[in-house]
Amino acid sequence: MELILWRHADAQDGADDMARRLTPRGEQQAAAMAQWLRSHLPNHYTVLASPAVRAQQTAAALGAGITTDKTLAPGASASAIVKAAEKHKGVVLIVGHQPDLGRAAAQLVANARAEWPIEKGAIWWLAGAAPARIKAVVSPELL
Amino acid sequence: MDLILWRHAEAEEHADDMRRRLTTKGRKQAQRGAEWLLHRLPARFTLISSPAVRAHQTAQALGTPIKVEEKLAPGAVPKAIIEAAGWPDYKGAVVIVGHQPDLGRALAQLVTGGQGPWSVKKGAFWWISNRVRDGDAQVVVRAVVSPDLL
Repeated sequence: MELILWRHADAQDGADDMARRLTPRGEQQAAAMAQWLRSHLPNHYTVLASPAVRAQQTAAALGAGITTDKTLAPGASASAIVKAAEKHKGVVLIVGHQPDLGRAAAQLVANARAEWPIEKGAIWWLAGAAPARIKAVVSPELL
Repeated sequence: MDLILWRHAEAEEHADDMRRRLTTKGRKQAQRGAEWLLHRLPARFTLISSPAVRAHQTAQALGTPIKVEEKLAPGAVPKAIIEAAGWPDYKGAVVIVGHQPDLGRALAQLVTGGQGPWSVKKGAFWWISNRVRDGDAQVVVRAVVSPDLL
């Protein structure tokens, strides 16, 4: 399995957490990361996104079809994230939140219960069954 | 601080491990990695290499003075790598060029406190930095890049 964890880009504050939109900077981060992803992803891959607007907007930057998965909303457990990915074959890209994604990465890579930091708009590309190998980490600030 | 752990690029076979030289492909890998790093590193950074020729040649691609550290030779323990880097208190960026599984063990220890070793492909590098967030010291993996992704 190849699993790419993508944290939503920089977002505005807002009383309704699910409705928070990307800032202009966040839109730039998402566009830059989407460009990098398009040049490195295979032709076929599955995009799963949290229903939160900031995650949907981040995923939309790829210009591919998006499957919205409610189990990826803020607060998703590491096992929910892994389970969502395992429903699909091939390369799966999950757009979600912190600390959820960092917990899933720690579980898959190190079988650890830990909160690994993932920067806004960054991707972690994991390969293979647990313990997964970290194939790539790319942050928008370093593109 | 910013710490970049860079594994030497592809090298030729040689009876004397310390004298193995980069292959043509390895030189290209080192060049591509160096270009990527030079675009993103601050203007001033410290470059430290294992004394092995393949590591030194990889470091040379950055075109800046190299400090050779004997303790980074193949078989370096995580403590030696972490101390050579001045982690976590050094102010600025340090690039260390070394070997596997040594770098992968140091990375596992730095990021999780675990044993590893984590996979680091030839010519690949990991960029980590430390920060304090909400009173907790954190290690952030900012980039993991291998030559096939450049």
